[in-house]
Amino acid sequence: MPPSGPATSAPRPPAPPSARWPAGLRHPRILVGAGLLILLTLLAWLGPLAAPWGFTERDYTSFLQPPSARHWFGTDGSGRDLYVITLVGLRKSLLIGLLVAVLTTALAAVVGAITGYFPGLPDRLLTWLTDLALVVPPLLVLAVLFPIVDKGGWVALILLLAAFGWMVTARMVRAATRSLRHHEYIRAARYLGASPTTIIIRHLLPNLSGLLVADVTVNVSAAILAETGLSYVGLGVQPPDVSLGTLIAHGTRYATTHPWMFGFCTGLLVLLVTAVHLLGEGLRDALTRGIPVHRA
Amino acid sequence: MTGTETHPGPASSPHTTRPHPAVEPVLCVDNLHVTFPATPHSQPVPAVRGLSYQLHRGEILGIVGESGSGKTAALLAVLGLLPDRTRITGSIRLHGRELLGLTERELAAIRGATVATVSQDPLAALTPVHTVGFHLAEALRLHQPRLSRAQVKDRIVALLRRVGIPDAERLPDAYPHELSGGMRQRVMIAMAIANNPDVILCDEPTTALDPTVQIQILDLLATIRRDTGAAIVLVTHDLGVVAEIADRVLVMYAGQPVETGTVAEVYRHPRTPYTMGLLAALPRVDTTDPAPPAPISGTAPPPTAPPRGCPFAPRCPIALPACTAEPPALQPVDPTAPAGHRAACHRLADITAHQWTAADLYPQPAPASPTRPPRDQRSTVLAVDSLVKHHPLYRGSLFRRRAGAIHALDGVSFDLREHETLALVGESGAGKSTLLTEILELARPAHGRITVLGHDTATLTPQQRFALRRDLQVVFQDSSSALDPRMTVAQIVAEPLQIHRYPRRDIPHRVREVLSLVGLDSSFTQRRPAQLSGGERQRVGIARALALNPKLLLLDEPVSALDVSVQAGILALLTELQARLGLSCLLVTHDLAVVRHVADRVAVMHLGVIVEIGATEPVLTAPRHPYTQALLSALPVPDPDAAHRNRTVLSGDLPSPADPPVGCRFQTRCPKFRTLTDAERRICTSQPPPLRPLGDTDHQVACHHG
Repeated sequence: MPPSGPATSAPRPPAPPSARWPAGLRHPRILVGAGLLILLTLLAWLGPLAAPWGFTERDYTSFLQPPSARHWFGTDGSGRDLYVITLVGLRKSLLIGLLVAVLTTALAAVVGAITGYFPGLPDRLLTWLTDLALVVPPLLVLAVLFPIVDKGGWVALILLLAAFGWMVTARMVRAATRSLRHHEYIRAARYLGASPTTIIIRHLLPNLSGLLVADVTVNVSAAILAETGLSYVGLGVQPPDVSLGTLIAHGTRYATTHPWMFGFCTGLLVLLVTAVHLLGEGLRDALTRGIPVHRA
Repeated sequence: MTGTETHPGPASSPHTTRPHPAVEPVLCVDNLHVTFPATPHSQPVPAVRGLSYQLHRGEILGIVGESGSGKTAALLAVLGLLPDRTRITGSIRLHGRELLGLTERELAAIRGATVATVSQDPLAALTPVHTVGFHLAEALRLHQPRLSRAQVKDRIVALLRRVGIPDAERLPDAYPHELSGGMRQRVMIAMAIANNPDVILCDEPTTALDPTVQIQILDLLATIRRDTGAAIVLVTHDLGVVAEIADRVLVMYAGQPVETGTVAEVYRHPRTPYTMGLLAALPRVDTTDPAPPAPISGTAPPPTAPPRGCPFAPRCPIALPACTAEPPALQPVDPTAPAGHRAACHRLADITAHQWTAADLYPQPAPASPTRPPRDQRSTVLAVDSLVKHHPLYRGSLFRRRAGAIHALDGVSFDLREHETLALVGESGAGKSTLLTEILELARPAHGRITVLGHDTATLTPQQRFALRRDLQVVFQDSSSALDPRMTVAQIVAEPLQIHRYPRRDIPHRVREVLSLVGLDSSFTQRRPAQLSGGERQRVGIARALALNPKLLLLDEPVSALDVSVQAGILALLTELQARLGLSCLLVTHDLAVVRHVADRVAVMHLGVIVEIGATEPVLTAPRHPYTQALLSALPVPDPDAAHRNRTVLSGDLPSPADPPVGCRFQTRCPKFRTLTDAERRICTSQPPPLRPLGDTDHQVACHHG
């Protein structure tokens, strides 16, 4: 027998699901969540084409009418078709939600990884900045910065929402990074000569992916809800643009008397947030199962 | 707590307390089966399959097994401490009363009163927000509710005295985190004996402790057994601990009992290939054999699917086809032999007939005998000169200010020559890991100088530092955390090659080459760390370190997280590689037995300084520093004869590295110091002893009176 000896002969358990992506992704929550999200996206972009009404078109024969064969979601006070308007609003909310969430999490991942990985000055500086950003009430600042939103439109709104959403995630990523940093595989990479950038991209972020994916989904709903809230008080999406938020804001007044003004947009919002959450939870489980890494 | 006593080993008196065989056993476990329920991610796990033992009054039974052998599950089943829905069948009788099927309330009345437990990690077992006194009072009041406040207080102090705690009056007010590991374990034992139990169940009670503290705790357990007559079940992976303290031993493998009998019988005449293999695989500090211990090939079967036949058959050197058909039953080794030695092996008759021993079954790897020039003609690959490292301690939250420092390293000097393995040995807090980190950082040290392969780390440019990393590699202790869980084996081994711009086309070939060097075939390349066993993971870690053909390899406790049977394989691999590749190695370990087998030289560290350094042979056979002597004598040896030897037991714990004693740092625990006159002591308490060579050898000792 050679001195080193054969290392194994025992039968081996099957690979954990994480090693086989497609199988891991066949999780019911992922399927339902992704399916719903795709359905909603298709609806938002293709749905309005199916209706005989345009976005700005008014039906002067029906004001505030309940759903009918002519107006599937009914009409509003100025005779606009609510089906078309709600789906266009959904379009904007989807865009805002996804973009803000991805931007927020990306920013948070970068800031969190850097602060967590480099102790000392960068950490203290960025942590201080994060804390500062945390204590400034976003609504107030947004109110002050309202002229920018007014001028820049919804793109400016997305940037502003992202600028105010990253702090909590960044702190979370920082904490996770700090504990991962002491893992020997991070030290090992460092002692192999890997640069900090390589270590962060190759080792840290992949091992935080479960946390980050979960965070994106939380941020999607947070962004949609924040936009809804802002639009509700008039600081968000400005007319003639509509979002689910402006529609809900407008519809609440009619919630009891003309429920279709309120029900459809709110229902779609609930559906959207649910879909994103299902997808996020499923992805997080699929990404972290069998691997001892951080979970949100 | 200062002072030392020399006295016989703890196992010296079992014969006086050995009960009459006719006496009813205290605890009687019969055909115990424990099956953990299936979870969404796994099959049901049959952890224990058919375990029987009897425990008599005043007896210590050692249950030995490697990880996954079911030893802990077998222990916890006694008190019904396993998770709900765990299926337990068989019979567990305490004083003749069946425990299986009792209600939670009935069991609670037994726990802590008749049967007490001591767990491995006393920090986790004590609630951090409550004082020691609170814990003990709780233990007492639960089963003796009528004790008055004053009585409880008296009992607490008495209990703490009994477990050898020096200031028993003040300790009840201390919180668990204020105590050292050894003290916490004493408190745990005090809680266990609070209600005079008949049975104490100990689960790896000394595994987390340093050897000099471990021996104190084993001593204490033996004393308690002698004084109270309690029976003790000691679950451990350490054959040395069992030999040290137990009367009888039960060896388990894959949930089944393999061999049982008196310690002397089983250790001297093991009758199953598994027990023989375990004993042969154990590194021994008392050996003179330079070869590494003999490994057992293969790994333990997966707990979810134990084999139908003998579980050890796939790894057994003398397995026959019949062995895989059905599991062997425990049967008496010899009808005429001393009672109780029973073994489960289909080939028991052959083993007895041929008187086979481990040497017949497990060929020992050839000793590495590299031909190399004498030490002083080889070049120095690593030189550390008066290295100092203090970790600052801060107080206050708003205004952080420095409040002292941990003296992790205080003037450490040594050099490592080409083709040589130097072992750094010491207990926790000795500064071993700090030293390793300081070298690996390749940065300018605060004080002192580190020279790696001729480069002073203080003057390196970033480019030079990067280039130097190619020749300096490290293998970490915990292979499960040293490998990125998301990467495949191939990616892990390729990483150093990619970082150092190895030609891209040649990487796959080099990866396969290094993997085969560490004994892994190409079927491993696409696996992830979670799919490997501990030994395989450590091999991958070694492969990664060797990928770039380094000159200097740092090994941080490379085998301490592994099971004995696997550990021997890694040691053999390291020895072989070291000779074949001409590596120079710096091995950091707490285990002197490992040092004995792989190191050419050894440096013993204590509280940030090297107290003794020299070639392995003289340092381990004729140690000159009292600390080295104590460390060696505290080491449990898997030999029931050696366990009765006279030994030096250090009392107390390591002094705090934040506030080391002035002068010699070992003075508070030094056995020699106690024998000195006041005049002789003065130098110990005023000046730190320098390392001085003994004669003209390179054996150096830092002791004023060495």
